[in-house]
Amino acid sequence: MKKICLLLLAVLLPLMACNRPASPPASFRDLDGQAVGVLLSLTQQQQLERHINDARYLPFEDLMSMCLALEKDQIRGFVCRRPGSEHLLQENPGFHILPGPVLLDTAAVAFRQQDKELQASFNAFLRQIRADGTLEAMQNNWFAPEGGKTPYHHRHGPGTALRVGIEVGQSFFTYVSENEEVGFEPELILRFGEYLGRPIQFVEMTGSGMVPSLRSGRVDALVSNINPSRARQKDLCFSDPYDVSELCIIVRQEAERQGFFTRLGNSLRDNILKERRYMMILEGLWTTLLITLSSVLLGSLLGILLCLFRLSPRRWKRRFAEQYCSIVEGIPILVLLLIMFYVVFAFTPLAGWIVAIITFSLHFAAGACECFYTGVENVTPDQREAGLALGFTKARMLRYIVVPQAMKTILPLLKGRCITLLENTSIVGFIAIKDLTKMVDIVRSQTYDAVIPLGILALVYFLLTRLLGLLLDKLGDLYLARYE
Amino acid sequence: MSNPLLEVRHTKLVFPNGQLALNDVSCSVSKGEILCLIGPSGCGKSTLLRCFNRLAHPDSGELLFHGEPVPGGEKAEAALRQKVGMVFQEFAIFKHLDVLSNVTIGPVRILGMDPGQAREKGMALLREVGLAEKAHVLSANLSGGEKQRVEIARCLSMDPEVMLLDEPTAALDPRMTAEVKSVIMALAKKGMTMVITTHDMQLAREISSRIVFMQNGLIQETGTPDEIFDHPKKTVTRIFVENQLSLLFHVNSRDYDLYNMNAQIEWFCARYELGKLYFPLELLLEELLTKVLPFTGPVDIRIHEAGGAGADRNPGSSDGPVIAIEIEQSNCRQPILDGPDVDEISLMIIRGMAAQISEEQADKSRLIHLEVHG
Repeated sequence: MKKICLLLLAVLLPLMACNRPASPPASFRDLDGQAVGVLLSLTQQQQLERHINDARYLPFEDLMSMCLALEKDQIRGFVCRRPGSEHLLQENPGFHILPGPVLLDTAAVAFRQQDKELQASFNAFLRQIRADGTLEAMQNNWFAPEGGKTPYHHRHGPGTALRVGIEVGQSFFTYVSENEEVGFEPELILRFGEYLGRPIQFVEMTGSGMVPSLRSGRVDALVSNINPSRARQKDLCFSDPYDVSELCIIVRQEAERQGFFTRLGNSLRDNILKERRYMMILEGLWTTLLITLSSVLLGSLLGILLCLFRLSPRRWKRRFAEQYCSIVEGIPILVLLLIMFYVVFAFTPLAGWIVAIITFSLHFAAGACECFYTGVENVTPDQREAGLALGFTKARMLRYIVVPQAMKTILPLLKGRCITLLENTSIVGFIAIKDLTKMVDIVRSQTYDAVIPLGILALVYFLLTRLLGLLLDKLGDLYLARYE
Repeated sequence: MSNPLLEVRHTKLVFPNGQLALNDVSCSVSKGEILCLIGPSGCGKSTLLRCFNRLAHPDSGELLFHGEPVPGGEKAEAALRQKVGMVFQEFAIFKHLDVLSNVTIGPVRILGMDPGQAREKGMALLREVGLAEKAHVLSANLSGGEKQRVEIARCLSMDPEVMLLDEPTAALDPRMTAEVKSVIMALAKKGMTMVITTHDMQLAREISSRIVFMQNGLIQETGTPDEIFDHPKKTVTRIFVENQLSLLFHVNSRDYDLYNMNAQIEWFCARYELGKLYFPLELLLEELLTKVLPFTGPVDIRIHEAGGAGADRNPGSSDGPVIAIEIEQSNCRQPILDGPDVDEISLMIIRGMAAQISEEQADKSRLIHLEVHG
């Protein structure tokens, strides 16, 4: 328990300590030469350059991260869309909109070059809803302060689903409520689905993963406040703009702060209880455990096979196993995961979590092979010979003499590998899998609170690794006890 | 001779590096017989021993057990090894098991014996080798002698008809050697059939009913202990036996390893029960090597018991053992002990300690003979 408290402190203290007061900027010119956050998916930079000199533009994956950076004074301001920003201002006392010239940004749906038909039908659909007033009603619903924010529920049609990549955490454009994607953009797409007579499947992703996903065919369209700039059009084709909205710069000034425990209480309530967000966290936990345990099992089996190859008298088998281990261990697991998802399995219908299990199994196999090999090498030849001399057949000698002795070396090594694997699974969010880390990210994007969710995340991982460690120790003891 | 229990015929084995380990060797052991294989290192005696239970697979030749040829294949070999037990030089007891489990794993996992029954039998065997008290100690915490006795008990747990012992005392110090020797002696008294390879001539002489001397992958001579040790028919046998009973040193300069030499002398005296004789031997050699010998070239020293093997001595007689020291100083034509430059005090010490001293010229070197009486 003491350890856990210390851990929480270690996570929270640095995050709280870095609040220092700064005089807030009053106009665009005050941002000259300062750090300004922009979204990866937007291209507002050229517009801003006309009004601000030499600003350092820092690209962020999502709105949430920019809020946190502004909160911690890592940036002096950030750019976002005006519609829906009221919500953001409510949640973050002290944030306000910097007065200045009006900037405009357009948003369009991105398709692949070859999907011209889809592009054409979307444009037709857009003209239709613009003409019959649906678009305006939608804008009022989501962006007007008095709007009802009523989610739109789609009636599923038959046929193959249209897969649409969206990015949650874009204020009222796209967010998650009760574990469902809602907002202006989801409604637009759902209505488009009805227009086409096809069901819609949303694929949540982050800024950097969107264009590769579209290109490799994992999704059919992207809807995420994407600006159809000239640079982007080279690769992709875009619909007519479905939204032209005002951009604004959000800056921060010191606001009255609540006491630590009040904030902690509010934060815990918002992040965990409200909208049954614990269900999302539990769902993420399940995904993380599923990927970890499946990969440990599959990877161990593969590892045994590889280890047998390494111990084989055949030269090509030994070479294969050695090369496999050195190649797989020589590539960062994240890079391996991206290669598997965007290149190797890009044109297969395999779901992301299956690709993740395959990748982690392949990676774990290399590590497990090393563990097994070390363990078996540690059993001296005289032990095998003594087993044979006593009258064991070779297979039974391996089972009763070599394996139990090797296990003593293998188990602690393997335990370390398992824990590393569990921690490494936190990167699967990069291929749009909603694991524990990704789910907490989504919660953060809704509550605009970074500190508490991160603390909870660290705590959950810590407890998970401890539990996994204890479980493996127990299994190891049970196994070894059978032979003593 | 009765029908042999275990027999190898015309066995030929070439190592992967091309060395001929066994060249058409035939050898057999009958029920109740204790066969000792002796010979220099690399003579093939361990390989021959391993052919008896097929741990080594000869290139050609036959293996007969109870007069029946043993077929190839894993099953038949495992069955053979259950009846032909083996004890290794480097005490290969199972490291992951405690002492009792080492003795029960064979009966339980191979013979399918009930674990409770196996434990009872195991304890009885451990009592026999004096280790019942350590039944639940892990093997890592045992001394070498204890490990070797556990291995003998493990071998016995399979109720073997023949036991093969590969240098059972070579990796042990004299005290532990004595422990293991007495266990082997006790087994011999019970009529266990054994084949033993050893460098310990004392053990070979005391225990064996027949001795096989091997050299260069061939059996050179077979006979009773008396025939081999006292009346060898072949010169190679005589030279080997004599060297085995001697201590040999090759010294290149005055800066030799004094402590190593002294340790070997003490070990030699302990092994052949020469009592405190190591003290005058050490002193004598130190004086000679540091003060007297001119070191015109390398010096060869041979220490042995005058009159042959140690077991010849009559324990009842009042005469102590007599140790002969032969020193050969190469590249020297001048008298050493009677020479002009000799250290007078050293000479006095040497004359005081040696009962008999003589010096002679041989070809290019000087030979000095000394005798020390116990």
